[in-house]
Amino acid sequence: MSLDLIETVTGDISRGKNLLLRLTTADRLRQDNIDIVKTMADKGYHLIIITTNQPSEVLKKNYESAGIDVARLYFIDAITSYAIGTAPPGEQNVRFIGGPSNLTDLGIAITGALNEFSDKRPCILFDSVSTMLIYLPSATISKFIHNISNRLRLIDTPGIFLAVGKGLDPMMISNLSTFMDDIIQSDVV
Amino acid sequence: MIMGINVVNRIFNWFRDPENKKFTLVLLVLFCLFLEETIHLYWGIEVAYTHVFYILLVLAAIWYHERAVFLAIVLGVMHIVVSYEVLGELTWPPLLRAMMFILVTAIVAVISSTKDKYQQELVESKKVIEANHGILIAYITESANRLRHPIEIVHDNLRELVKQVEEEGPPGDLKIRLQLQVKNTEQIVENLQELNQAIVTDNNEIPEAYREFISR
Repeated sequence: MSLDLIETVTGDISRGKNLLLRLTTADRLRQDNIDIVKTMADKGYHLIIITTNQPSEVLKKNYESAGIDVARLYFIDAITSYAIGTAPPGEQNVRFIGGPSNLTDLGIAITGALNEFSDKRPCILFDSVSTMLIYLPSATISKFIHNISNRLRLIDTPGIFLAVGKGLDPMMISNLSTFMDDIIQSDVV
Repeated sequence: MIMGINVVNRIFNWFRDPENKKFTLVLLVLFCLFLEETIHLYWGIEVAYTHVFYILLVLAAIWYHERAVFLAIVLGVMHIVVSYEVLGELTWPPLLRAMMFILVTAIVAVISSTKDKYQQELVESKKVIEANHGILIAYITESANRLRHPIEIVHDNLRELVKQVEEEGPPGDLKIRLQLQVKNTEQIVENLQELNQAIVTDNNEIPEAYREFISR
């Protein structure tokens, strides 16, 4: 577990810096995701995990093996249906989206989840901004993140965006930094 | 002394500045009228002072091109009329001077307008080169964003999967994870096609044969 990351995230959130961009490495992306989810879940937040990188089924297993209670998590899964063609039946606490490029459905799902958990201290985790580049142009991603961050700011809800630092060009990082309250760089980005 | 030169230099530069050209020309027109009125009409001297007219006419021709010829005609006619007033008859020297006003103004106007036209063409051509350069840079940046990094993501995901299979045996979600990587690689190929199409549509500098090759 990265103590620096945990301290920075908790410190920022307690100081009212709700919108955070975590720039990490590909090797540490999975572990950073688990660390953030564990920390925020321990602090009583109800996490809404938007995944465009790993299927929610894979993430759930990762969290369970890290001792996280997955009942307190809600997934907006934009990758499973896209990869296998259909949404798996009988999944609890998961909303499947047709694909990461379907931003309209993704936006609707995020708004719906924020409304549903508005009284349970919701917190958004976006995994990951860099993976979105497989499916969408960088300008479209910047606009989408801007839109989401504005919504979160309006309802005073924390949002943590994960990205592989070296996968984003300086212009995109500069754009994203204008929407965020803090950028948490991994030491080895 | 140096301070005096500096002040004169600044005043000269201010008048020479195209931003202040209307003011400069009006001032020079008034000065020329004053010279015509005093030196020519009042003192009856009809030579030398007309050289000052050329400052006005050359500047007008540089700034307003062929339109400055109308000013030359007006000054020429005024010079001939005043000369007639002074001498009581129409002579050749003022006519020749008036013609020289028009001729010199026309020559400077043509040279100046040709020079400005070439300069404009040069600016336009520079803009086109810069736009093409911008397209190329945008293409390279977007290619790095949408190709290099996605390939790294697929590579990292597959590497992690191989590691997991080696250490723990095939996981239950192996199929879905492999399906995801297949989809990702399909999308990367689509991105490549999309980016190639974008550059061949926007950039006219790519030879036809290469356009066809990269858009296949």
